[in-house]
Order: sequence, then structure tokens, then C-alpha cells
Amino acid sequence: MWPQENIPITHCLYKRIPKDHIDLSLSKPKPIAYKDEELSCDWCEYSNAKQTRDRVIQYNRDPNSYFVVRMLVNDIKQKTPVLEVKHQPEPENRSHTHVNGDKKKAIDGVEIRMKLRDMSHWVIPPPSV
Amino acid sequence: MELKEKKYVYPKYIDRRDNPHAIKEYCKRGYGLDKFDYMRCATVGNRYPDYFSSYKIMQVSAVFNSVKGSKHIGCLGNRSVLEWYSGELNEELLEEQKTGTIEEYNWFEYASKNKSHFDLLVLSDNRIRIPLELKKIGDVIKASEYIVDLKDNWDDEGSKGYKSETWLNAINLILTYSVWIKENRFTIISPPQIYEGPEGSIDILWESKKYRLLLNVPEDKNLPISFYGDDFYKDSNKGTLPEYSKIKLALIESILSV
Repeated sequence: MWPQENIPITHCLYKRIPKDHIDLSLSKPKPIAYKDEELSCDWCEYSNAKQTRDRVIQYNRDPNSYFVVRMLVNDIKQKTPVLEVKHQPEPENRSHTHVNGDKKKAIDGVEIRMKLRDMSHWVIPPPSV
Repeated sequence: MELKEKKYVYPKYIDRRDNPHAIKEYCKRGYGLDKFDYMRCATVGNRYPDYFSSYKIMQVSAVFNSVKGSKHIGCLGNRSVLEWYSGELNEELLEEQKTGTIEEYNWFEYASKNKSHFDLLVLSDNRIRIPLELKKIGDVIKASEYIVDLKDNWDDEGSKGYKSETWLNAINLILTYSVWIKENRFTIISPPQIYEGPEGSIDILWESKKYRLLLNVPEDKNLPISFYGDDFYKDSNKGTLPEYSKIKLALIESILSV
């Protein structure tokens, strides 16, 4: 098992976003893309964007239906201090990281989803419409 | 030939109310016009070409002289559509009808110049009345109708499907807010994005370069609608409706207006 490590604030996380969670007309993720209480991401130290996308193959899904954004750890800590960035390595994925916090909670959830969306930048963008 | 319309009262769809007596009753109940010192029936026929595209007004059902201030109320329509206007009806038209020399004109052209609302049919059987100025919002609403067809796990990520009631609550909120701003601030706001939200909820996102506002309409009607808005920098608001005061309406209006 991989050791749990502290993620430096200068690093970034990759987040895989399914096609259905993207407004293709605006090329932006929809706020629902950030709904999970334990938002799964990959730490850039042990993963790149393509690897993040291709991990869906293990779930028998088509990687071409997924796109990847990057979020700076510093942005997450500064703009959404209620969230916790926690390295959660898995046997097959050392980079696995959770951004923890209740994104479904009434008021805070709306704010968090909006801000995470705002700090996301495409690394593997969807095709422009 | 055209109507001398002076003041638009309220367009109303009424089924099977081409009977003058039914119209009179409707005036009493619907508008409180309980005294009529003049009533004239001039039913001159019905024709039904393309519904709403080019049908001709062939029937003037009744003209009322009310005691409510407006001198005349004219009732025009066919069996399924009846529109009400205050003001003076063109007496010349009535005279011609009386003598049977009816001049056809395109009602749709007349109506499109004078109508202030249009009807949007959603989810097969829900008719929503929308001011013409908010047509773009109507377009966005119609385009988001697909959401109610999404079943559980629609995204292969385990997301919950959506109930039509939730979607209707969301568009009701959009229209209420848009119409309120239009009527109270004389501003037409830009259309929002209507998105799938978590746990069967609906997200409504207004976004411009200067300001953004996200509202979440939950599936459970007992839960409040929550919102968050900011100017990307310092100024932010969040809370639940109906705490409207927390939303800085003036700021949002100026930014969202088109």
C-alpha cells in the first residue's frame, strides 16, 4: 500500500469529468460535476491528465467520453477553506486524492460547487461546439 | 381594416366560450364587470385555417360597455381562442359585419404586433404564459425539458433522475424572478443556464463576466431553494429563498440585463 502524503499547495489535482457533466455549448463543466462529498481527483505528483482520464477503462467505460480539468491545491484551500484535500492512495492508483466536504449541503454546497467549477481549467478539453 | 385598440387588458384563453352569455358570465366572474348597459352580439362565422399561423378573425362575439372605466371591451375569437381588449372596437368593422361584408385580415399579424405574451407548451400538457420580451428565457426553458427524461444513473456516475415537479418548480422560479425584475425594475434579464443538479435537484445558473448566481431547486419541496452569487472578487451573497433581500437585486439586474 502506498503511504499517505501531504500534498504541497503549489501542486495541482486532476479531475475527470464525464461528457454529461459538461455544458458543451459553453465548454464549461456543469456545477453537478463537483457534487460528490468525497470528490475523487488525482495528484499531479503521481499522475498526468491522460492517465486520469484512462482510468475509466477499468470500469468498462469509454475514456473518450471523459475530459479532465486541473485545480490548484492552493486555490482549493484559499477559496474553499471548508474543504479538505486528502491524499487517499489506492493500490492501483497512488495519486488518488479526495477533496472532502459536503457539496450537497444546502447553502454551502451551492457555493462550493460554484467555486470548484470556477477554479477548474481544462487540460483535456471537450471538443468545442 | 383594424381594431382601434387603446388599452390592452389581458389575453385569456377560453375554451368553448363563444356563446355570448358565457362570455358575459366570464366578464362578471373574471373581471368583476357586473353591470353591462350595452351588449351586442355579432357572430359572423368561424373559420379555422392554420391554428395560430394565419387564422382570420371571423367572429365578433360581443361588445360590452362596462362600468369599470374602460368604455368598451371587445371579444374576438373563435371557438378555442378568445382575446380580450379594452378600448373602442372599430365601429366600422361592426357595421360591415352587420351587413355581412366581412373583410378578412390576418389575425396572426395583428396579434403579433399587439400581443404581450406567448404560450409555451411544456411537458405535453403544461401551458406557460410568458411575456414576449422574455422569449429567450422561454427558449432556454424549452431546451432544458430533456432533464425530466433523465432516469437514475443517467450519467453512469450514479446520479439520481429528475421529477417533472422539480423541473416545473425551477422554471416557475426563473419566470417569477424574470417577470418581477421586468415589471419592477424595467429590465430584461439574460436567460440562465438550467442544469441537472445533485440528488434530483435542478441548478439554475446566471453568469456574466461580472457576476454569477447559482440557485439550486431541491427535489424535496420542503427544503429551501439555496443560492450563491458573487462578483468573482469580494462581493458575495448566499442563503436560501425567500430571503430575497440577501440577493443584491440592483447589482444583479444591472449585470444580467441585456
